[in-house]
Amino acid sequence: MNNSTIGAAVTMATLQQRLDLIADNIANMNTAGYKSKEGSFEDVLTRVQQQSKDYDLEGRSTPLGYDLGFGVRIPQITTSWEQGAMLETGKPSDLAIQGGGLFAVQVNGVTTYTRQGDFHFTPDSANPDKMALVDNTGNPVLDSTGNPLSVQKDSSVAFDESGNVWLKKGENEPATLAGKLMLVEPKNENMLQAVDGGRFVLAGGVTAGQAFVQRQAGEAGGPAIRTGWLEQSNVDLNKEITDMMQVQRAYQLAARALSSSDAMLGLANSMSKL
Amino acid sequence: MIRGLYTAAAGMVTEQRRHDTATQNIANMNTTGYKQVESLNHSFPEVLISAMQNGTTKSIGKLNTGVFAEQSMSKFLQGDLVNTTKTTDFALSSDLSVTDPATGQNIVFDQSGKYINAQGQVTYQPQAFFTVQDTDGNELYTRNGSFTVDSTGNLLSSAGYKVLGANGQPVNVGALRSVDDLRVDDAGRVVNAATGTDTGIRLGVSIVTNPQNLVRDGNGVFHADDPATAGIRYAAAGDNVQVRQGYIEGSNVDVTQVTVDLNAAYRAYEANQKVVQFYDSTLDKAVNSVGRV
Repeated sequence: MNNSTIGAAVTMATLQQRLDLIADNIANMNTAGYKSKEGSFEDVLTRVQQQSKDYDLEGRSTPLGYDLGFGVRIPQITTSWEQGAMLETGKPSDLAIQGGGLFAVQVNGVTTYTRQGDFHFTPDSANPDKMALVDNTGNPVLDSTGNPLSVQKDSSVAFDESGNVWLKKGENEPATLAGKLMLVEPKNENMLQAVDGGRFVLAGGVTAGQAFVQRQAGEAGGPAIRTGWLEQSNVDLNKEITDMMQVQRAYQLAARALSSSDAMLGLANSMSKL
Repeated sequence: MIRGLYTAAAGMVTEQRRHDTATQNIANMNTTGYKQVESLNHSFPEVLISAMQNGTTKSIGKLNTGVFAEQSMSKFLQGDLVNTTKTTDFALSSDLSVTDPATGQNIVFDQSGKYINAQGQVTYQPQAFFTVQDTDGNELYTRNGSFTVDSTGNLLSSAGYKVLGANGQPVNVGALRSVDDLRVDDAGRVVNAATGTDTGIRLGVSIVTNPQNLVRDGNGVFHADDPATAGIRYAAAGDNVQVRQGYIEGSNVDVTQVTVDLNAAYRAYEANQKVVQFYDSTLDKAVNSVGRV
């Protein structure tokens, strides 16, 4: 098979992969807390065809050898951590994070991190006179000590900017501090690995101490919580559609190169009239 | 007569190479930091043919016996800068000048980045590259500045090569509180955004005086077989090179030109194939028809 057939075929497969990412993003353009995925291209390892000394003719400006490329690939898929738009819901247990932070949610005993803050309270099964904060699929939300957040029943709950949980029994009673939400701030996105449901776990070999910024109490500049708001998906539909058009045209051109190299094989095939 | 058959066959092989190159360029029309490749053809060196008769040889003249794909040259032209707002994305923008030893003036390069003097000597414009290192410790050069930071704080290229600093050591930004605090100025110096202090780390921007001496490796990187001939050094003050944080350099492939190349290579291949067929039918006549009564 000739080189340009391989190159064009590899390219078409890669562009298909890029299109899959775009489709994934567009499908999640209304998923709260969704972070769009991106993939950039890189040329596939080049083979240098060796040339003998006889090829070193006068006027040559490059070293001996002739480059042959094999198309393009996506070396890694990255997540865009750009802030999504905020949507006001008015629900006191809907929390949005302003800045580079993540909530901690326990899924099947494993601590995962997410920016989806559409939480609600349910009766705590372990403790009848308490209620637990859970996410949209019923997984417990963790407090700053790493335990599921659970507060006294029959009281109104409010969260402040830094994640402190305040309880109020009645209208005229003073609010009491009942805990603090875990809010982590990743040093670098590569320390997290995306899993399903818009959640992330620590990448292999990374500890929580390495992955997250340790801030002093009261230090300014960290992420802030906004109660009664939800962070929307950060998918930019204009960008996705533009990318899709670009991918489609690139695919068309690669397909053209493929059919052209096929026609060349046809010509080679029809050379002999035997 | 048979000689011409081989000439046409050589033409077909060469056009196939040109077609491969055009396909490679089409494949990489959206690749970060990709540089368009051009295939250059060269006629086979001329051979002198001579006639031998009665033990004496007499020179008849020169003969060319075809063409071959001689070299694949990269077009090191600046690609478009695309804004990504990511703190670990970098692009280089460079316009390096060379002093002409004959005149003492700066050389004015043409659109393709080369200059040919009256004696026909070609000078290529020097180019700037990010310096990266593979696992064997070899230095490689790339224009793809789409970097990431790994869990130990090393700055890595998208293919996983370690990015080198101006001191020749891998860049480690693990001391920063978070990647968001990474700020790099035009000269490539890493500044801590939270405190505003210079960290003393500087991205290693290599200047390659003879960029055509670089060999393309794929994965967006080049290497130099002979760094001395290529003339590689780190950028110094006064070089017209800027590091742009939050931008990546797009591919410099000219799609229109590449599509034309693709079609031209195809048609030239077809023409050579026709010549082979003509030779074949002539041979057919010679073998089967001559002598038929």
